[in-house]
Amino acid sequence: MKFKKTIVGLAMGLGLCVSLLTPAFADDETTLVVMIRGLDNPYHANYAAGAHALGERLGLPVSVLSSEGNSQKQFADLRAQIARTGGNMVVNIDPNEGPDVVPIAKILEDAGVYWVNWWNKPDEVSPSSYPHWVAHITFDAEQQGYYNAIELFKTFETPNEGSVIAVQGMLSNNAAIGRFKGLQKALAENPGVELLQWEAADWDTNRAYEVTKQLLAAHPDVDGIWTANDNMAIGAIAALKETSDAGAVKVSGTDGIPDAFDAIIDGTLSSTEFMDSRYQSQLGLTMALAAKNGDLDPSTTPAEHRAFMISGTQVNADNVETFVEEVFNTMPEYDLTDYYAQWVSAAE
Amino acid sequence: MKNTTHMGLGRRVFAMLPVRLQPVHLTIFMIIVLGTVLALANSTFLSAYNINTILSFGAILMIVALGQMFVILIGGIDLSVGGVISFVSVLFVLLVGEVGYFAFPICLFAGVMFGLINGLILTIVKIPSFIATLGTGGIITSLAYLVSPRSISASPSDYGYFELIDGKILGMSNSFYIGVATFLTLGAFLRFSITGRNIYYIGSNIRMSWMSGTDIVRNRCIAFMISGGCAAIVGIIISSIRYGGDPVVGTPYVLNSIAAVVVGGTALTGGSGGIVNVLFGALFLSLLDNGLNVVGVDQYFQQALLGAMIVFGVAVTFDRSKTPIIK
Amino acid sequence: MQALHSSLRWIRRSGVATQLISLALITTIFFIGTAGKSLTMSNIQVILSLTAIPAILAIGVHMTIVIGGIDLSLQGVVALCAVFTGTLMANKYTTYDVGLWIIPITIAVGGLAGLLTGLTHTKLRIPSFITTLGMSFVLYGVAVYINKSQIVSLQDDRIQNFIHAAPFGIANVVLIAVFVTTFVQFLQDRTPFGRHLYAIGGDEALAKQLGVNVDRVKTLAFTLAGCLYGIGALLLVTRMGSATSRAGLNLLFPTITAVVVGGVALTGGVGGAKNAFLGALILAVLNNGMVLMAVNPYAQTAVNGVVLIVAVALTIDRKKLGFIK
Repeated sequence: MKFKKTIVGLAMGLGLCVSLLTPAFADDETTLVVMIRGLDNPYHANYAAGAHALGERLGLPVSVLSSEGNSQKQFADLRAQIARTGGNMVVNIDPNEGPDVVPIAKILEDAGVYWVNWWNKPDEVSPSSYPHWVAHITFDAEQQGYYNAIELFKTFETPNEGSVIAVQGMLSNNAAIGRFKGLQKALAENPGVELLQWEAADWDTNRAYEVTKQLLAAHPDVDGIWTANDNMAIGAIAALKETSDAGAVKVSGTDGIPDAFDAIIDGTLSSTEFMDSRYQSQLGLTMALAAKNGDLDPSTTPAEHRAFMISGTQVNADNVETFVEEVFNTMPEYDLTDYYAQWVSAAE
Repeated sequence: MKNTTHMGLGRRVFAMLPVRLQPVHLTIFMIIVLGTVLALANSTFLSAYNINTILSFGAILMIVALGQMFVILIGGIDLSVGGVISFVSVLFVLLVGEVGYFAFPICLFAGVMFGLINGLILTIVKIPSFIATLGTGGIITSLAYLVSPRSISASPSDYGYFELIDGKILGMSNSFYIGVATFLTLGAFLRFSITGRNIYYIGSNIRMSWMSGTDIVRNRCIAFMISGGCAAIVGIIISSIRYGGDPVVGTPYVLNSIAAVVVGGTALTGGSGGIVNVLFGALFLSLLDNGLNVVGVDQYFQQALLGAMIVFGVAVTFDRSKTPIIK
Repeated sequence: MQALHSSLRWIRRSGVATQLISLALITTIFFIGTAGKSLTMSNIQVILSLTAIPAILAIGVHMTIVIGGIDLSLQGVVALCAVFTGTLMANKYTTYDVGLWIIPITIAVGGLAGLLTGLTHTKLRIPSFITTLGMSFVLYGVAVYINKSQIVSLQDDRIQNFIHAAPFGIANVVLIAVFVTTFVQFLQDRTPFGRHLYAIGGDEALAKQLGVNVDRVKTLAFTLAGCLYGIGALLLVTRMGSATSRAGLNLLFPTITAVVVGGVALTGGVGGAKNAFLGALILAVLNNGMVLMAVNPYAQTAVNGVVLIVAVALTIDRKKLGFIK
């Protein structure tokens, strides 16, 4: 008798949990799906925020999938989502790594789901060979690294003359590689600037702090610190603060997190480039929806509109205050009628 | 009346039943309960498409976990599986372009060799496996980075090799069949070979087995080699699915494989458990991950719920009667 | 001469002799390799201040290893404590401002998390490995849920200024770590609780027979570990001036490595807080030396792995362990 009770109890408990956590859901509406890499940082979470705002406006359900850096989970969760919605969905995805795009494409093409991909894809794989892959969009990582390096060099005591140290992101990552290339391009154009040493800090604030502290012990007289993203820039600034050089020696970042704007205002960060993931997810989902409704035909879209780069917003001391007020602290009504408004170049 | 003081809630309940219960029965019971709840919450949970998802991705986790189980059976642990998977995923893509089909045996061999090194560090240098494999795992990951610091993708002319594994037979993904084959092979090995019996023997009482003349070095090394080999198989599968590799792809498998082994009812102290436990342990985790998404549980709850279910799962299945001291 | 003799004997008996030797060895190698740069006063300061937080975390983990268990919940507890700090200290997102009360609050949050882990482990009788693995997911999940992905800039920089200040020539954060080490070492050497820790780690069945309340001591050990993670998290967060649920990311295995390199056996019953501190110091010296020598960043993980294995191969006392698992 006790055995039966336990089963019933367990089942009821589980059922209660599930029903409490399950949002109301209808099959006949297209679900907006965003797949991101993790919930613990603002850049990725803002994809979700953008999608929720769009879903509210259009009256469509939104589903957020988080891969937690696990490629296999990414594929399995997408398939679970397809099972859940019966394939009535559109997807905006930021895959873990380039190779993940191949199985993702297979899964979504098999299910006939329209989708837009961000950042990473293998060079050999092109949206034009997939009927449901509406677009691959990315930022020009090299340009970002270049812009922030140039802005950093300007802040030197003698502009464009001096030495820098660099803090790299996750070494296997395309954005990290591109941004570092941009730094090297800036270095080549400014022979007066020397890169003394670089270390990897895996996009992590703490690691960047440790690495910077050590690099500063080895090279106490640097004129600037280039970092591959804002998270690491914050760590570098914290390390500089302890040698009381923060402000005199500036740091550059990329991404546009709130701390970075504060740091620009404080005068410790020279510049960053903001990538608006709220816009990214709204653009991607809108394009995929348009393709699903027949308003956008991927097969007749020219190649430069299937794979392209868009521009971020370059933020430095000159525009930081207006930018934070007008763009960052509000959820702007993006103009989503022109998909290619931010288009800068083809990505292939 | 049985003495029930050393039993958990689940086992105490089951002690009233006439059948002789193994931990694995409790895992199966949990899977049935969970499956029923999920199926009631969303009918698509039991669609053929979704079952294929659960089984084919569960199979990949199961293969790593099977290898992990051999090491756990001898009372060790293998934290290097993540490194091996990452390394092989890169190596396989590079080799396929150069040597074609020979990439399969070479990668498998590399995995087995890494396992052998782990085994030798444990048995000859006499360093606990937790530390030995933590160290070699770091070294192997570094090797993967040195071979290819960024993700690499296969050139389309080599796609044929990858399609061997990334395909379907009778509507099921090939990774499922590889999982079944690995399961049967290792099951037969564990059940019928002398080495298989010795592995249990060493795990349950190493001093006794040493005194009775069992070759401890050889058997422990074999356990690690199986783990390395299984990790290499998963590296090849992951590569084949993605037509590419990268040096971080294996990281999540370290803790997930251990969780699968333990949720299935295998004790970390060694000597108890078996492949059927691992099968259902991996199935349970795969089912849970899939189910939370199929019924649409908020992402913000999923990590916490997953952790709670692992603890809950072990609380129910863990066989306390064999290990009076729980560390 | 007499003093030298007695100090040598103290070192030999203290259980940190091999660690001190390997520390000296590594320091010498890097001193030569960097042409003296590694032993400048400023670099020593850097090494010490980078040792502090890993040392406190390592002491936490070692509490659970000494009793023969293990604690994988570090990342979850640190994330949770960091998020609490970010929510309750003065910031832009919330209206709370608890000021310096954040110190006892964070320690209490960590302690409660540890208590929960300890009770789950002892009362439900689940191995610590899997309890703490699951708890790590749970606590991290809760942290992410509370934090809602924000990076919270702290507007109260009193703690930040305090830990960076160096009134005695050494940054206060180092002194905090030294104090924690001394305190825990004192507990281990001079109190019944400390003796019980080693009794349980050495032979749990025997300890039970001798009347030690094993469950209570174990739960206490996990609680104390949680408190130490709380301190570590508070220092991590205030050091950076911003709090996120990512604060604990990638800390687990380096911390366990530090504990083990310091000479704490995973089988339990061996090693104290001073070992954990030394382990963290050795790793800090190692990482610092590799950066100063500009070792290929791709290869640094491998060097860490080799050092881990070599350090343990040199220090492990195989006679005590019997069969190595």
